[in-house]
Amino acid sequence: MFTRKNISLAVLFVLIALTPALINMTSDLMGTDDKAEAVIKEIDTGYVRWFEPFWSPPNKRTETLLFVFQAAIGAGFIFFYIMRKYSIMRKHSIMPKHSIMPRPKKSRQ
Amino acid sequence: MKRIFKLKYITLFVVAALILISRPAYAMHIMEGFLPFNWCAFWYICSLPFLIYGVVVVKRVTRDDTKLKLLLGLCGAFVFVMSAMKVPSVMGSCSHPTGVGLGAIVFGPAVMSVLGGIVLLFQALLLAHGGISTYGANVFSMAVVGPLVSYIIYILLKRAKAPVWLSVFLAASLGDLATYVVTAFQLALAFPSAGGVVTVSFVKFLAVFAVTQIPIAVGEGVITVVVYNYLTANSAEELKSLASREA
Repeated sequence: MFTRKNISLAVLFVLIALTPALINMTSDLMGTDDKAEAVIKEIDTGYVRWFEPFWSPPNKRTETLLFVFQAAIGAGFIFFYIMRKYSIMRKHSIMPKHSIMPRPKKSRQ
Repeated sequence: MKRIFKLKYITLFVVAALILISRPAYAMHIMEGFLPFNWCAFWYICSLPFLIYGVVVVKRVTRDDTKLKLLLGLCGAFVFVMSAMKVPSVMGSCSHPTGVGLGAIVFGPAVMSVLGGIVLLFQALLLAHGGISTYGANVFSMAVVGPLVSYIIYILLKRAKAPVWLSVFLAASLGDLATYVVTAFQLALAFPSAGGVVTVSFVKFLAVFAVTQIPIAVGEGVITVVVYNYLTANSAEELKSLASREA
């Protein structure tokens, strides 16, 4: 994960994600599901939503918080996995090639 | 030791920044109540066997290997992160990647149907994103067809001796696209244009998703290659044991 090649690839990913965001900074982004909803209404003008969600986030802020919560669960576990793998490697003094993570110190004895 | 701590904090910071910039992902799945009842039932029936088979495979894979359990957790966590990320497009709409390609390549499509199903349930219940009535349809597109397409492409390219990064990239991004094609197809089947023409609606729905989804699919391919590189460098043992099981 921490090789130069991988870091440049990750930067590329962030660029792909951010460029359109910067272009459309001011406009309100519409989700593709809302767009699909509009198309449904266009095709079948009389369609009535027959089932409402049991519960939906009361406001935009709560919703953002819940999405962040979801991402945090995932990111937390990924971080845990990386650190665990790293500590195992440090214990056995092995490192993958070309890593920029600090090289494990060999024990003095 | 100090350097290690510094790196830890940098990583934490990057993760936190990534989370903060991601806004609610209002996109992709079919919304609650927007599929007629019969179609909901139909897609439930279609995806149920895959879910059941998936649970059986997950049990078999994790029975006696803690390391594989951790790796499974990693693939699940990847789906969690990816499907919480709202990525905007130039056209002013936004959607999110699925993240199921990685798990499909590592564990096979059956396992991913369970992990994807869990994420979809989480989003339907807590975030009102997707829905319980349309759960079957969403599972079918994101957790059944997506991983299946990823897996088939990966295996075919591997057989054709393509470079690993290319097969991982194409598997992840085309699997992501397949999910949206299926979603468009599901909507078109339920809402054919006047006179019962499915293809006209299909093109309409496809146009909604495709423009936004193509750059996201490319992004998902790139990030999946990163994680796969990490796994081949750090979790080679687990990958080997998985490969030997399949053989």
